[in-house]
Amino acid sequence: MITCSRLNTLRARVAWVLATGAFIWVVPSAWAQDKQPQGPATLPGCEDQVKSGGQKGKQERFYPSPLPKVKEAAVEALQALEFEVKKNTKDSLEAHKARHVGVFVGSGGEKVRLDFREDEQNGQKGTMVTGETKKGFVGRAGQKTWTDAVLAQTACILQKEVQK
Amino acid sequence: MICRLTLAVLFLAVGVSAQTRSVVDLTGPKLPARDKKCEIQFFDGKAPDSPHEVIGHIRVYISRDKLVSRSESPVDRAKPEFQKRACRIGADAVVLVQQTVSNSGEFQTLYVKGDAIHFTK
Repeated sequence: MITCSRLNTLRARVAWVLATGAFIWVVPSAWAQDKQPQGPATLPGCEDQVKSGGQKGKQERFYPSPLPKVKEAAVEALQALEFEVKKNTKDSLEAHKARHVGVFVGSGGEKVRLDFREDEQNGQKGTMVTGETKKGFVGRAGQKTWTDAVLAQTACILQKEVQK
Repeated sequence: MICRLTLAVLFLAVGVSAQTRSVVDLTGPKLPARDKKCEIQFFDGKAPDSPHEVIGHIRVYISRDKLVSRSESPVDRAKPEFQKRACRIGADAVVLVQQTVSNSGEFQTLYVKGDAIHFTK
């Protein structure tokens, strides 16, 4: 598309210089912002629990709370991160992230699956959650791993409920 | 040249618009809708002491393209959307209970959750 008109007129050259200038002005700041944590700034007091991007593949986390409460907190966490829960069974959740069409790559379209099972750690009963992010084919360049962020946000919500 | 102009207009149209969307989950009794521009009180974090009932939860998402819009969206920017939704479900006030900012690629999304309440006295 860039080659759809040749740079042989003065107006075209001026436009090209302006476009290049705008690109140089805009992109470094966007990259700088992208170096900030990609995960969310969560509920007050919980920020340090969120890591940017996070590990790929399946992740597990234990919560010392009953399964229904953990699942409820996970739904809330997913909603806060702009995921829509598509499948909700007794012991699993599947959610899709809303898509945004952007200037360059856009974002969204990731799928997060969470599986819940009752477990016990160090003599304490609770719930083990296994989570995984799957990226789609369309808009893959703008997609991120959200498992860490969702699990951290779930912990924050449970912590907030305990404080209540 | 025309090709570039079209591209520029397309990129600007996509990028400049901060997208606001909201979802309402009704939990309490169904009340008649109020006037479109009705007055809604806002409470931060804690519900008022006066007797009330929660009639729904409102979730507002404001997404901005960081490449185009550099300033972050303050929570106040979500209030008109809360007001619109709260009036529609007949609420008197909204208690803002949760806020989250998440970054995804070139987009930043502000999520604010509020409980829509109706004063019973």
